[in-house]
Amino acid sequence: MIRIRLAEMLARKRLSIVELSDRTGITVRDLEVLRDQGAMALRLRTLDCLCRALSCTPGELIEYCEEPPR
Amino acid sequence: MRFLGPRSISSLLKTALDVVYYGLFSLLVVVVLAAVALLVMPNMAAEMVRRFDLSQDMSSGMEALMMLAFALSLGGYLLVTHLTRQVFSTLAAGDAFHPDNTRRLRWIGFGLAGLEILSYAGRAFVEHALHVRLEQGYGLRAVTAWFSVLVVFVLAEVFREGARLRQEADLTI
Repeated sequence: MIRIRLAEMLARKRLSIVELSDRTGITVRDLEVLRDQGAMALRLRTLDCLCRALSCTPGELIEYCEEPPR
Repeated sequence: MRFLGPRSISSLLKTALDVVYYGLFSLLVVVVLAAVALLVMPNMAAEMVRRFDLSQDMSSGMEALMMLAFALSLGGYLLVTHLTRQVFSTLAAGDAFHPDNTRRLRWIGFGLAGLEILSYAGRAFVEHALHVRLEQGYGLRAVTAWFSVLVVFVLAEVFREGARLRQEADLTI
């Protein structure tokens, strides 16, 4: 599965989700959905905003990991 | 003509649905009251049978059963209308692909199918009990009714897919 490492990136950059929302213009609710791995798709524009605000590459923000057993 | 808002198709349909819903509700109340009246005053049934020139008297049990079946069918129509109003209210709110609409449309389909089956049973019962022949050539109307049921189930699947796409759009960030 694809995992968004938003929580880790926020911790590394010492940012709150509200601050990231202010920087990117993405709503707190949407950022929470991303952080909680609830998103089904991610627009390139959103990824661009996040990478710019967090000063990171898409590879640092997104990772592939094995599906957890159900 | 606008679709939503005052003096639109939507408000016209809403009014029509409200009229049908409350009309059915009133009729159901009348039927239930009539059934109670028949049980309390059995002579009234005999008078009605005579007035409508039915071939023979029915037993009070059969009368009660007929009233019950009629009340049941009215209840079915009431349920279908109620669900249609609910579907319509989501449409008027601009949220036609609400996830609950799939379930509602399926129940409308089941309701219509149940009413059709109930009508067959009712017709067979009345023809047998009163020795009368009801409407000839019902077959074509039955095809229309079952086709409507099929269309409602197809619409339910369309709404299910619509709800899935809406959820996907909601979760696209």
